[in-house]
Amino acid sequence: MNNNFEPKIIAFLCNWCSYAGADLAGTSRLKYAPNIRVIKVPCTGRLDPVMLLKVFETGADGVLVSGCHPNDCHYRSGNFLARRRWMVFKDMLEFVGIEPGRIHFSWVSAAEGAKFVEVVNKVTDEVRKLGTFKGL
Amino acid sequence: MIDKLRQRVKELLESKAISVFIGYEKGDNPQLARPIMITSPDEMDKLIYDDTCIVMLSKYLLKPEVKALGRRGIVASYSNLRAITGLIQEHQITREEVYIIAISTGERLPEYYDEVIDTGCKTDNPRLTTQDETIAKLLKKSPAERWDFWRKELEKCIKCYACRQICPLCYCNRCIADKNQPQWILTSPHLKGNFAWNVIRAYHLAGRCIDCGECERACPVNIPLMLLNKMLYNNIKTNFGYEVGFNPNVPPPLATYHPEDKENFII
Repeated sequence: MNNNFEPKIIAFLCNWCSYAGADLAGTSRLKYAPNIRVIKVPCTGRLDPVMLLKVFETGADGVLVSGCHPNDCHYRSGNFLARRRWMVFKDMLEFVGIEPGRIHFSWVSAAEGAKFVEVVNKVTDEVRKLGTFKGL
Repeated sequence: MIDKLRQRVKELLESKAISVFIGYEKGDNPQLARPIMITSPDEMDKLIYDDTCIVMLSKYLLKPEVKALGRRGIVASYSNLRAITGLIQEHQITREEVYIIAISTGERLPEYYDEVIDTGCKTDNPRLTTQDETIAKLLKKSPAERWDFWRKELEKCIKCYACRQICPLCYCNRCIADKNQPQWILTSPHLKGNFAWNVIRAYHLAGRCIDCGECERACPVNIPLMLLNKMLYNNIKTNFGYEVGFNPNVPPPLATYHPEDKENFII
């Protein structure tokens, strides 16, 4: 692995909280790792697990899913349902051999620009350590 | 026992309590009985029940052509009973439209049947029960080794979808694998599509798989599919204390939530 490896990370951000959080980080001129490619989704509950697989299939090295804190979901229960799905799905991906360090979930509210920076940096660091995803 | 079953089916058909009975007849393969739809009391001598009756019958309850015949009777082993309970839970059939003759094998039966017949068969079906050990062994390995294991297994997949066709709980009219705008699951038998298909198939059955083992038996290239299913089965049991196929009145675990669900994995 050469030292210049920069991971590609796909970040699914929910429209109502995390995307606005990312926006806040931007308008506040906060700096964070440029490795994420943001995909805006209406709600984390909208994410089909097959989308997370597609991320790896199409050559990304990691994935971040971020949504509203519990009880803050714009659609009331989308993030609760998503949480259960991830709970099971991440264990399953781990079981088939995708390192757990490649899949991350977080709650970032619209007011948490600073937390968004923290999350992105943390995720980027972890995926960088794991190197390129060579699986598929 | 078989006389008793034939007698009961005959009575049911004659009294018009049911208009079709789904059971087994002798097939071309001596090790595998073939499903049969009996509509007339004269066909009783075709009906059999023995250790070769492995194929899950519950799937036939959903076929439109069988549904059209009217109230259906069915002979249900332990796995079939759980599948039927699962189908009732997911509103695919109602309790009233099926008459269930359960086959007692000494296991804890779901409470959804009309009568029980003791067959004398000791086990339900010759199911594999060794998955738990293999799963534990796999989990001790590194992710790279596990990936290697699954890569080798999934490369064999020829995308015949036999696992889907035989699964008693796979009943979608349009499966995600058949949708092509967008094409989430690549159709060619390449590791990419094979991986997505097998993982998503198992995931769609998380909390719904009744552990009957039919997918693995149907697989022509012997992929250990039940390892995935059983891993999810155990996961759901640990996380939510839920086992499918016993109580149709609770929501499936992934279709509901609890505000206090664990979230130690979320940043």
